[in-house]
Amino acid sequence: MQNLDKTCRIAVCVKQVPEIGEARINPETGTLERSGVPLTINPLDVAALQIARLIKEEVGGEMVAFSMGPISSERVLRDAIAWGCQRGYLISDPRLAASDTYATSYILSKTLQKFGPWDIIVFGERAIDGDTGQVGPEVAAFLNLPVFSYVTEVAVEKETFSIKRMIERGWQIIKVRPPFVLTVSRGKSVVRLPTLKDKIRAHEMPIVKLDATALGIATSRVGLEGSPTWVQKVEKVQVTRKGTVLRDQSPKTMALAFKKFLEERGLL
Amino acid sequence: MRLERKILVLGETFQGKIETTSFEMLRVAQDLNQKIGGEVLFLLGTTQVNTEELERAIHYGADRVYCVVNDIFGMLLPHLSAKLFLPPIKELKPEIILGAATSWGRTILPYLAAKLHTGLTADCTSLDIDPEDGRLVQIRPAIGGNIMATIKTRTLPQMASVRPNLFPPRLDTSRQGEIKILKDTTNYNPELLKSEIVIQKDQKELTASKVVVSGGAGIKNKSNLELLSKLAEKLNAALGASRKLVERGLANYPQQVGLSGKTVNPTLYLAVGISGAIQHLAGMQGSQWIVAINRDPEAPIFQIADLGLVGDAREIITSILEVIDEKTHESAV
Repeated sequence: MQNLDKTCRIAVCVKQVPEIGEARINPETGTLERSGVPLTINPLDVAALQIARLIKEEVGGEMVAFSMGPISSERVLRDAIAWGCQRGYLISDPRLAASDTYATSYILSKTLQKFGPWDIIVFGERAIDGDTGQVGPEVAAFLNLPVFSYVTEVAVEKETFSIKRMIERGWQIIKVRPPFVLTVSRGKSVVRLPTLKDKIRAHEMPIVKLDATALGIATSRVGLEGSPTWVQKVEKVQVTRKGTVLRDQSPKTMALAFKKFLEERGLL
Repeated sequence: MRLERKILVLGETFQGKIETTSFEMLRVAQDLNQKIGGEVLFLLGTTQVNTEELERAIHYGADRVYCVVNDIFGMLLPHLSAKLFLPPIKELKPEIILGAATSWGRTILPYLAAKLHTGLTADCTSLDIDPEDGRLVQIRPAIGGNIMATIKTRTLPQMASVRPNLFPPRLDTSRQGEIKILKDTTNYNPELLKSEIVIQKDQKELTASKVVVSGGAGIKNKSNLELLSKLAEKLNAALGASRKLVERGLANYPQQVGLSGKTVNPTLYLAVGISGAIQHLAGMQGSQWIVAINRDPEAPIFQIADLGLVGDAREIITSILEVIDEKTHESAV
């Protein structure tokens, strides 16, 4: 990137997910019942969009959204546009369905390559449905780019970026120049909601649809057959313990019950 | 006929020391190896060779230790470490690669999987070898921890990240093994200007504590949190948090317990003001004893609690602090 304030190109990858709180599990099969479950933009992708927008506002340039999924995913691309993207591309093709993280990352990297090059590619750290957090780093590997995960803050200083990421022991602060891939965790930054004007703009924007043929992707490498991993079975998790629950009693009584509980187990 | 069956554990180091989670992975690898009768390899990167540290890997289960030496490992940057790990991995041709599902492992493993053109299963809680086809059986929670999925891999190597703190390391100082140092002096970081680690020292390590006291959305403000910290101190406990508390900025991410945070399995887990979303339960349900304090009697946390206290968290904690002090006073007399 030669001239940051003119050419910074940011791609943001977003995913449509079921609202987990609403999801029901079929007790017979243990699978997710998708029919009638409300769909939404992956919450961490909103954090990704926020960071991307802050960068765009700081340095100028453009911000483009990509999503892979069924036709209904067009909605999350409109969300992404309302959150600050200028355009949206939807990768939708039944032949790509059931792709695992490797195949998904392959498809996304081919797509990003086709519309690239990008200075910054941003992902939510993980999607709340698949919950793997693997697609961002895999795309980075396919594109041979550095990847910084668990990012909560990005600051721009001239042509370098200061990236703050979470690690088990605290934080890591990295200073780099683009290009790179970020996977974003929710930090403390204030979520700025789209205005009505943003929403109207998003509603009117055409979404470009892409299929495997348009992207030049060999279907043998993707979908259920082309994925290196497959799900053999799923089982519902049963968690119940038979415990004592105290209610409608004074705090002191409860405190004493807790103390007794600790003493009986040698914890006090 | 397979001649060599190798399980490779990707070792994680921090400031020259091997992380405990890597020893947990060695135990997992050993358990699997008992079923396939191969070798357990340990691959790690360091800035300086520390033989004593490498021998520890053998004591914890490695048959062979491969140590790549390069200054880049001090920077904790997975994509750069991956470049140095790829040549030995390609040469060793392991059948299985395991790593801990830490912030480092969850980044470097997918990066390596893409480079090796193979599959990867994230955050496994259980692994096995299928006696019929000899393949790795990978079990992981999915859909917010509501279901357990069994996953297999068609390609080689079969790769999995394993959740920390589920498999206690197994130490045997009589074990013998081989250590090989691989020097790589390539400068891999042209784009990198600076990497600085800020350690949060004021906290007891969650995964290593016998007692964990965690706060959730019910801890509405700083003053409640201070009260909770006081209780944690009294119980010699680490202070944990639910995702909601972290999102509100009242706690930091390293304190987060749950599917997207840490897995803990202490002797006692005290959940205060935590309703018990399945994502949180997934991170603490392995605790030996669970006590929950919550205002809402319908909160799901009570379903898995050994002792549930329904009421105002502030009042109950204040009382607990009082009665515990009484005990201290009595025993002092």
